[in-house]
Amino acid sequence: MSRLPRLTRRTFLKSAAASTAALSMLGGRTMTGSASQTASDLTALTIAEVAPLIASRRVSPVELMQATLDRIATLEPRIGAFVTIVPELALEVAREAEREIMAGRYRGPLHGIPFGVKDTHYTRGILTTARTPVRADFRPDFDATVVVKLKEAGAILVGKLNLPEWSFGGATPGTHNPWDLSRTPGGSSGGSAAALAARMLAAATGGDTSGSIRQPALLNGVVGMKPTYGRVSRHGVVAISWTLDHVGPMTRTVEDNALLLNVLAGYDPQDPNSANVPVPDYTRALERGTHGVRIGIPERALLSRHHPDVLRAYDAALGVIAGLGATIQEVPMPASYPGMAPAHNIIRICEAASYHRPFLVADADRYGTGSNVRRDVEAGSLLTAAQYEQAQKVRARFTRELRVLFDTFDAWVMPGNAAPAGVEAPGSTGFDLDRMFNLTGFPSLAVPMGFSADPPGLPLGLQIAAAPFQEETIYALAQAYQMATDWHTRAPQL
Amino acid sequence: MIRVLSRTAGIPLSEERIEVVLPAYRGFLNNANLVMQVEVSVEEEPALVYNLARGNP
Repeated sequence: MSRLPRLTRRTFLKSAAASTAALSMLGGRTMTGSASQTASDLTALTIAEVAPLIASRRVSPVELMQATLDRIATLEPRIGAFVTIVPELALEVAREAEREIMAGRYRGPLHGIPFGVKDTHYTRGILTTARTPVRADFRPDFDATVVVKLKEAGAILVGKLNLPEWSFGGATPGTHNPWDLSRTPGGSSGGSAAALAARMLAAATGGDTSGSIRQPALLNGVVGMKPTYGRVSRHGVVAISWTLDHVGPMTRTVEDNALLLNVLAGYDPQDPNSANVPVPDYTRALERGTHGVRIGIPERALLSRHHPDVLRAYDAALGVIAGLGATIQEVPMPASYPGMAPAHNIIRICEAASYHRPFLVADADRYGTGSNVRRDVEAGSLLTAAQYEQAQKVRARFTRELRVLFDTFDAWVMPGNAAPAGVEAPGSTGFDLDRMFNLTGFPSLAVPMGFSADPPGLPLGLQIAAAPFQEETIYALAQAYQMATDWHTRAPQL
Repeated sequence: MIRVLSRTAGIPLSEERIEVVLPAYRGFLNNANLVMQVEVSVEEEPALVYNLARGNP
């Protein structure tokens, strides 16, 4: 039992009210906007900031949940991040968490933390639509493994986050970028990224088949990790392409991301491709620093079509990283790089066609009319096994070549997006530099690296990749970079 | 050809659907042709992952 005095709800809340003054000491960010100041202060806190307040009973999970729901109620009409919100259930679970903590059964840093999951993640008894009319009424009878893990850690489900139909695409219709409501938050995990940027949540998950965690993270100024393939279970998550799909944590800071991956990572016998590799404490890597770390960067010619603001911020970021003691060298792409993108396209659509076959047979006319999903999976079903197998051979070669390349450096750093949200960068390699890590399964993280000047004030991001199961290397570098900059502390004016 | 392929795939497409699908199919065929041009050795095996040793990698 805890040695701390037992607190009533009143004292819990009283302590929490008193802790408002302490928030500034914790670096709590103030938000401008119409949400109440107290609620804004609580929802502006990161997981790492609010968890000690919950552990020490200075903030109740109920109060944090109420503040979260209040902020969602205020901002959701403008942001549109959620498909489904479960306020009554969330408050009920928050009260249970409060009782547990008051009884001395604090589970860890996610206990009492509100979270959202992309609406591809199965949630028992709760609508899981994948944003398609085909599954508009689907209520799974079990939770996805990642949802189970988050619940077991004491985190509390608030709702399901928006995406394009079936998770196809780099935009999220219906969701607005909090930094400029007229712009896209990107996709496909656009609801997750927008909810984080708007301080409606501090913890979310996304899915990434072609960059769908990292691209929206970058466009919204938050942090997104696509872990090594097999590191996080895909069991109970609607698929696009089994061998390219990844599930990963999305947060506002690198530290929070490591906290979340600590819970999400691990072997799952229900995922046939899950990796039985020991899970380290990722937060321990945060203090590792970057002195002597060997950084590879792509040859400049590959970035020739990137937006000038992206390149300016990228060069500044490399300067910061060099100043932290890392060595930086240009690294040529593997010889089979020209085959990377077409191989990704073929594998993605062939596997998607296979996944969608039962839906096409039974419900083809229910596919959304505003997307090209039905068209694309029907077209993908016409490809042959020989074409698919050749793409998988090219993938094997590219992966082997990239692994050899990673023998010469520790991490690869590159711009994460070719242009700010809603700005085209025709002919750029931005998309390819994301999806090459889906094809190979290597881990890759998106972290904020500044803001655009034209158009003004839109987030830009850096991508950091490493060899398989070297997420710690990524977190060490990302944390050092984040500690040397203040991009992650800035919040949109809402 | 598309009519035959779609029937073989178990998702027969109507004439109307073939019209809709054709541009996307051509795009994927172009990708498939690019993939076919990449040199891979005879020994190269497809990067399919089957894990039959659950819990004992």
